[in-house]
Amino acid sequence: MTTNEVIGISSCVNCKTEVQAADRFCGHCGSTLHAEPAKPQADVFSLLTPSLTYYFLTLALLATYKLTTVFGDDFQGFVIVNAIDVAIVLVFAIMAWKDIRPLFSFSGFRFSIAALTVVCALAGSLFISELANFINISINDDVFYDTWLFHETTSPLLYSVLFVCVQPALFEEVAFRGFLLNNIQKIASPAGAIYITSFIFGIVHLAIISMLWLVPIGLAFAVLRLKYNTLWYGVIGHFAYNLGITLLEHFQYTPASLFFSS
Amino acid sequence: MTEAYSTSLVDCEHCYASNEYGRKFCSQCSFPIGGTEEEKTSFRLVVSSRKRFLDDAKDKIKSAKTVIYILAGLFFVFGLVIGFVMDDFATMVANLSLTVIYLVLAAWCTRNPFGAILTAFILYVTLQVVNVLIDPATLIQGFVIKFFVIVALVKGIRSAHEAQGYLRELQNLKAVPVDNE
Repeated sequence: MTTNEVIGISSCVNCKTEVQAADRFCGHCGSTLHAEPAKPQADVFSLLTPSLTYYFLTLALLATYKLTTVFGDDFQGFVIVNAIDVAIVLVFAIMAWKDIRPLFSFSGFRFSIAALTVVCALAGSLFISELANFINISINDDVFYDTWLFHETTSPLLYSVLFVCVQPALFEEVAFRGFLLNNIQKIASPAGAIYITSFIFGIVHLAIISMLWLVPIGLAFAVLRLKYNTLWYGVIGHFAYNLGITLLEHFQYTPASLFFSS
Repeated sequence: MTEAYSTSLVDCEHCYASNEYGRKFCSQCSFPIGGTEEEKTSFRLVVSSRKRFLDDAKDKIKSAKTVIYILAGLFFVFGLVIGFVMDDFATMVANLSLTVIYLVLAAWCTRNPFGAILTAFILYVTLQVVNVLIDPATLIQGFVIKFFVIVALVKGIRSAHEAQGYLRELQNLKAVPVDNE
């Protein structure tokens, strides 16, 4: 800080005239001093291109898998769809790598927050299993698998954990809380970006009733991501939540109606 | 401030901030207090043109909001018909859920037009993709209405983004009250 700044006097960047600290514009040339200069407006759709392209590509893939017979309904088709899904995320993550990389940093990582996230996620998975059972819909709808899909494999539990817990936890977080949140934040306020990405996260699962919990889950992970500037809490929480659902499913858990009686 | 100093102060005729005598521009709003009449007129022209752009953008936002309300209404009626005439309870619940989502988005449009219209647009296009995959014939069904809805929403998204910029610019020029968003 220079002496001039300390006593509240500085000079205009444009014409070097002396100006007061409280001035917003230079009295000599009219240049802006403190106020943000008006930026030329880029077209909103060119700013949104990465987000919209990622979303509609993923939507086309998942909707084709879910609603048509193109990929078949066996384990092989499931693996192919997942491989394409991961490839799409990787392409977009690499394109935005400069902004994604810092989100993988472990500096400031606290085990207490991670542990709390895991506990909340596991409790959430139990609660949502109950809720889904109560309103009588299959929770499988929003994780895109049916347990029988894994029964034809050599190790159903291993493959379930790999494809339903590890893969979505990592790649959905990189996509929705990574480059999508980054991209939309360039145009919308942080709160707006949180709502928009959480809604997109909910709707891409293509199960309208499941949005009841998918959107809040997305909101929670997005808030964690913006608050601590790391993807790890989201990845860990997402893994724990999906693991909870998978284990309940795998061990043929029949909801004990802890919260809802049907 | 002493009496001697106050005589050398000039009030800006645009934002009424006090300025030292001899300044060419107001220190708070950049109005050319010491400029010629033409310079003053051109400043006012900039302000009024930005106000007009902002009003145009607000009109388009309003149209998009109306379209969202209409969508909510259409899904509501369609859901009831499906449920009670065709006895398809699951589809009725899905349509009524969509009604609720569109109503929430229309309400959110007042606070955050950009977020609400973008979300409504994504939801609408998603539903069209789903319908086409289930039954390709739906692509041409009601094409004019779909086109109209998408155009209104796209214009709404663009206008909501532009409106943020115009509002910021006008606040900078002290031409509109600053809100604490």
